Amino acid sequence: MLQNNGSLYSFRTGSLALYRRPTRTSSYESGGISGVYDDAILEPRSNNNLELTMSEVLLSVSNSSETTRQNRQGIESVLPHGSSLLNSLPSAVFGGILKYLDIAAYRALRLTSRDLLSIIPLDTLPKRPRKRTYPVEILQNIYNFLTPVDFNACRRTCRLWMLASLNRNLLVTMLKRGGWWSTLQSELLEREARVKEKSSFQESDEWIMSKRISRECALSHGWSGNGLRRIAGSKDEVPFTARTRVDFTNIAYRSNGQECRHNKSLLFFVSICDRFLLVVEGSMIYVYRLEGVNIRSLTRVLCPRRVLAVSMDASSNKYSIAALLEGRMGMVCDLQFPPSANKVLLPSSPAHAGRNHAEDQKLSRGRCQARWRSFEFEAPQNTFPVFNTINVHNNHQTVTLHNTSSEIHQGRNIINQDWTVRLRGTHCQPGNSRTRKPTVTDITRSIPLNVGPRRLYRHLCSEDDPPRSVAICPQRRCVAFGCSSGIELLWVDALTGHDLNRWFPLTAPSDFLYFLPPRSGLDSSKKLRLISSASHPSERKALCRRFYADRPAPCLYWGLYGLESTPSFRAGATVGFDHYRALPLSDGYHVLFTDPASSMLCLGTDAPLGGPTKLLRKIMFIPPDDAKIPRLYSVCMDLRWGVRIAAVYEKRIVLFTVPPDVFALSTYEHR
Amino acid sequence: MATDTQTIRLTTSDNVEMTVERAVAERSILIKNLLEDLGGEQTESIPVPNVAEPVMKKVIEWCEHHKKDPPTTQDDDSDSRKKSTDIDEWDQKFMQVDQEMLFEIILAANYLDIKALLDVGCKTVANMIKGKSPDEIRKTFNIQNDFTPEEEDQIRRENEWAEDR
Repeated sequence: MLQNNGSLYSFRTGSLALYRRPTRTSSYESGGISGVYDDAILEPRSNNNLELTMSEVLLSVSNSSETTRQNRQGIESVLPHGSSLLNSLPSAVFGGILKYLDIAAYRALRLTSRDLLSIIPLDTLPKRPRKRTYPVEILQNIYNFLTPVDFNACRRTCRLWMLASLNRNLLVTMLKRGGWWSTLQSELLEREARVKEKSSFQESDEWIMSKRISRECALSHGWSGNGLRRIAGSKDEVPFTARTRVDFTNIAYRSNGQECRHNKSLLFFVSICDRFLLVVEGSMIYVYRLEGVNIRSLTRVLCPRRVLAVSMDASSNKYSIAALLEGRMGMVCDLQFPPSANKVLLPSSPAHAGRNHAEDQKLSRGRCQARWRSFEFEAPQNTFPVFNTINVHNNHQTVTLHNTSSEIHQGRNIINQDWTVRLRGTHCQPGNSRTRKPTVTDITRSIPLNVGPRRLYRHLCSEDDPPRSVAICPQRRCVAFGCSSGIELLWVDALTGHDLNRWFPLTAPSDFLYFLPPRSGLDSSKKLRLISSASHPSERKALCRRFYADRPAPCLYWGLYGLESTPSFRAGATVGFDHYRALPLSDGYHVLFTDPASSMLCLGTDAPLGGPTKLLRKIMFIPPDDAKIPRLYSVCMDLRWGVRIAAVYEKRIVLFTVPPDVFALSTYEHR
Repeated sequence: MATDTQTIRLTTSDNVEMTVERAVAERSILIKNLLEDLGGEQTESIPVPNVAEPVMKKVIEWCEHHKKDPPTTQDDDSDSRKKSTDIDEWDQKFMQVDQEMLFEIILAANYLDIKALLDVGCKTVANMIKGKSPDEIRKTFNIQNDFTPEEEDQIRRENEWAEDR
């Protein structure tokens, strides 16, 4: 006798024709037609049900009874008379084999020969593992030992496990483990206050916490799907979905059929504030607004020369763009639309998603009149704060200038108006614009041409060392241009309206230049901070092509323009550089950069006051596979939910997230 | 010289009487409290109606091995303890049982209030879950996906990147 998981097998040693219970009778009475089966091989006919449930077999109920009868007849007609090798096995061994079979294999084996059919009783089918019904408190105890990602995967298996997971303490534990608690806590408190005011129906806190865990896990490494049944026609489970596709290629071809004068390549820039997309085609800058999943065309800016780089930062609601133009020229142009008019200017419509630039123009015909009407001139603001300190961080070097607003310095910094042209765009007269009807040309170029005031700067940097980067200050009327040997800062004096400039010689090339946002509670409004950095050596060719595309053999000019003059910047050299491609975060403390030693993407801060100028390494981002060097990266403006970084490695875009609790700790340490 | 060890008797759900050393049985807070409440020498068998004999044997085996462990305190219930799913070698071997038995041991540990054993059981289950997708977890634990289409839709929507602030 052999016992296994409650199943009882009784064998008569030697014969293997053993103890057998009545099986498959129509009424589950002893005798009956069971004898028919005992001597039959149950070989089902094709097109008939291959498997019957136990209740169908025992009770012969439902539609399968006819099929069963037919099977029986068929089986009876093809009875072979052979024996199985298994028959010769000792009963203990045979029983052991049965123990390891699943239900399907067990049934199949039973049907292979008459002998086996007779010795393997149907009512001792191997038991499936019993369905686990852990009590809720034990499930919660198990959850406590899991990481948020495993917790999230596990609770998506069934209702009971999901309901067990919706426990406030457990959810708070998971949020704390994930590093998402601090933000959610403050959000829940804000929400509580709102609910008290409105007393309307709101989602429970637990569901909000659950959703947040779910979202963050979906964005995390190791997400294993949502575990739901696949909807017909749906693609593989991925946390990201393509929501909008905009084809910009036709910008390269003008609407009048002429091809772009210089080349068909487009340059794309996203404003520091994350709200605008700037597409550059030759000497035209198209300004789009990023609204959730939609992209809205706003205006276009015509420049006197080919545009090499653009900078925009509307984080202080100052809608200006700075452009670096070919021929050592720079331009700052105010975009003339008040923020309050944005909705009138460009009504939101989900229908915009997924169209291309040409469709955008067609669709906008109907709204053209409204756009022209709302596109009114607004007088330039003269309320920009004065600054008197400038701090420039470059590689290991930090330069700080004080009293830049004093009269003595003003005299020294003032720009000679003879060589700097100051142009203002044609004012769009409100009365005229309202009555003017769009012409055919207007319709084909329905994105309105910006007519806001502009300043043009010429002879930037030097002939030997032309500018290669541009940055606009979000709070002030100030712009900086970087070249290989330094940066040139230009600003408008808030009191006198004079154009001023200042040259900062630097030791490392200024391929990337940014104004650092003021640190709350630390920086006064009278201080300007800039960070300048070089590009990674492997990026030099691409940069060279961008800035010197019109030169016959651009690489030859690197030496000429002084890039190679810096000893540490020679081919492949990484020694002597503290960081490449520094990108400041909106908190003013943290900087994202490429570490020269490891070529890995790093998040760090500048060293404490009085310390070395080297950036502190706080978090290093592990690249996928062997792709080490991040070619491009961008960071979100809103840091409430942590630092979201999109980085490009070879042909992959990788999303990194620094959880808000971790980021808050880093900020706290720095303070 | 053999020391006198006080024993007690336990009757399992399948009416099997087992004699257990008192110190071992007192790893169970339930039994310990019961014995303290009854006081004095316990001569009658203590019924354990929720635990069958094979499971009780395993539980007693664990208690015997851990009878000299310091009692768990309230401080041990911290989050840091729960983060670790490390199980010592003996316990790992002890937990190498089929899922049916593992399930029963966890339930027994919960009923008998043996926190350390409950944790070992839960850690074992947690280790079985780690790194698996929901579908793989279902297969491992023979769980039926019983979400209604409406519930699935709700779960599907919770991941949407909606501006729900």
